[in-house]
Amino acid sequence: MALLLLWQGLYFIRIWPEFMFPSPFMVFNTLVNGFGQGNYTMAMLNSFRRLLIGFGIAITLGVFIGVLMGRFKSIDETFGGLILSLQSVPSVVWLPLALLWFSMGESAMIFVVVIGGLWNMIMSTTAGIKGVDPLLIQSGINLGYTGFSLFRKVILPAAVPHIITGVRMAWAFCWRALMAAEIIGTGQGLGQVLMWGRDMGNMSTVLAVMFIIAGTGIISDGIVFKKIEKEVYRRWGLLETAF
Amino acid sequence: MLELNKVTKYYKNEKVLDEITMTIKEGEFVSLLGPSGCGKSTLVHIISGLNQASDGEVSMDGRKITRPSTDRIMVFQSNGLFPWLTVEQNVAFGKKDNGNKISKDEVKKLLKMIRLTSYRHKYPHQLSGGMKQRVSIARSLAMDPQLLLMDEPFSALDEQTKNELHDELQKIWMETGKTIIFVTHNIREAVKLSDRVLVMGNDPGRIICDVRISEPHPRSHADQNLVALESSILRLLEKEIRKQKEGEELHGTLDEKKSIFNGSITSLARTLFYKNMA
Repeated sequence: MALLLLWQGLYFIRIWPEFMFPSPFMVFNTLVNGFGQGNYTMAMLNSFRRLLIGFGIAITLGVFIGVLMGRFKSIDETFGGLILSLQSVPSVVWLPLALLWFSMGESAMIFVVVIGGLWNMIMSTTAGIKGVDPLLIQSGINLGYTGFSLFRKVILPAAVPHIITGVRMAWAFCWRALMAAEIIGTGQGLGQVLMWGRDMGNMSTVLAVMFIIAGTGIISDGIVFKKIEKEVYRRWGLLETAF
Repeated sequence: MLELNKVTKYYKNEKVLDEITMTIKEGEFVSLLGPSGCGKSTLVHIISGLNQASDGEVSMDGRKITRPSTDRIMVFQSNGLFPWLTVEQNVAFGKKDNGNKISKDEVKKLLKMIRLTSYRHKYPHQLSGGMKQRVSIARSLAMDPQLLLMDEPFSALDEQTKNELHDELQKIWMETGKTIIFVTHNIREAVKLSDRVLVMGNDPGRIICDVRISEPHPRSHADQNLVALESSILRLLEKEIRKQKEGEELHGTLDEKKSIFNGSITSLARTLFYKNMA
């Protein structure tokens, strides 16, 4: 609230011209109009479609590779360092390559989203699998489980808290990757609306979209993922130590 | 019948178990009692097959034990329950050798036996330490093992819960007639529960005494015979611990003597040196 007042105050002083620094009301109006005409809704749906596809691929692939790395030391030793270094490369850097490989379009965008969440998902899963309490594995073996059934019934469920934390972080990373990719790339997503606002010199559109991006991030993380994560940690009896 | 023949275990170059030989009959309740670090837990892991002996062999009914089996189930100190499963699911978790699941009736019976029927839909984190340990025991019994191995199962519990679980375990043992090997460092616990207490000594781990207790079950802590037995075992163990300490001190004095000796040599040499100088 205080921030809104400060914003309105700055607007009244007119340090910057109106088109560069719109008032909260103008941004609010833009938001209402945007949703009213369906532009923003369409843009959000477009972005969400890319996000969900990319995120889905990232976590599936991430869990799969992470499990392999967690179970087989040789794979971990071969690729562990590589993945750690790839993790430090911002995923939007991949966009030029992706545009070349997949030609301009959806797949390039989705590829960047996958890359955004993948490395982290792999590392969380690997850590989860490696960190399973040996006592649980011993109990599982003693109770008649071996090989794949031991993995499916004991090791994987025991790693779930780590994997969920990975999923939550992957979501945030995918979301950022998507926005960066959309700003640079083509199509009809939130990022493109934002760039369009910039090109038109319409700062209230830019700010409105920024609000949508931030709001979506906060809502999806705070309401959906944090809750799931907390529930998992509670169920697994880790709540006291983790929160 | 469980037979151990000269079971020896090394960790790196250190000998932790030295030629343990013993025979445990079916239906016996045997405690392995000893100070921490005497290898009693290692020994029970070897019997379970979760750990391997460096030398010697373990066999049950004539068959050599080399790996874990559902015949011999371990109950661990920190219970090893699966946190993502309910009490009921934990008890029903085991898979028998023929691939059969544990029947619902069986689970129901066991939950009743450990008096946790009303908790069957709870998760481990919602239970007290004593309850968790009871679930762990029920989960093991569900496999209908020939041998129940218990590695300090009650040592993390408070005194009162411990006493309750002692009574409960005695009852379970009398009802099921299972062979139980019970690892503990608590003399009272060992004396109260077992037919036989194998007292272990340190460094390297070995059995120093095989005490048979013929008092009828169920027993209580107040039993005078048991109290007397407890203090005599305590004396035995104290002697063992003292011997170990004396061993350390002996080494200490030897080293000191050596250094004094060295010192005198140098001073002698110095004296000679100065004499020559003069």
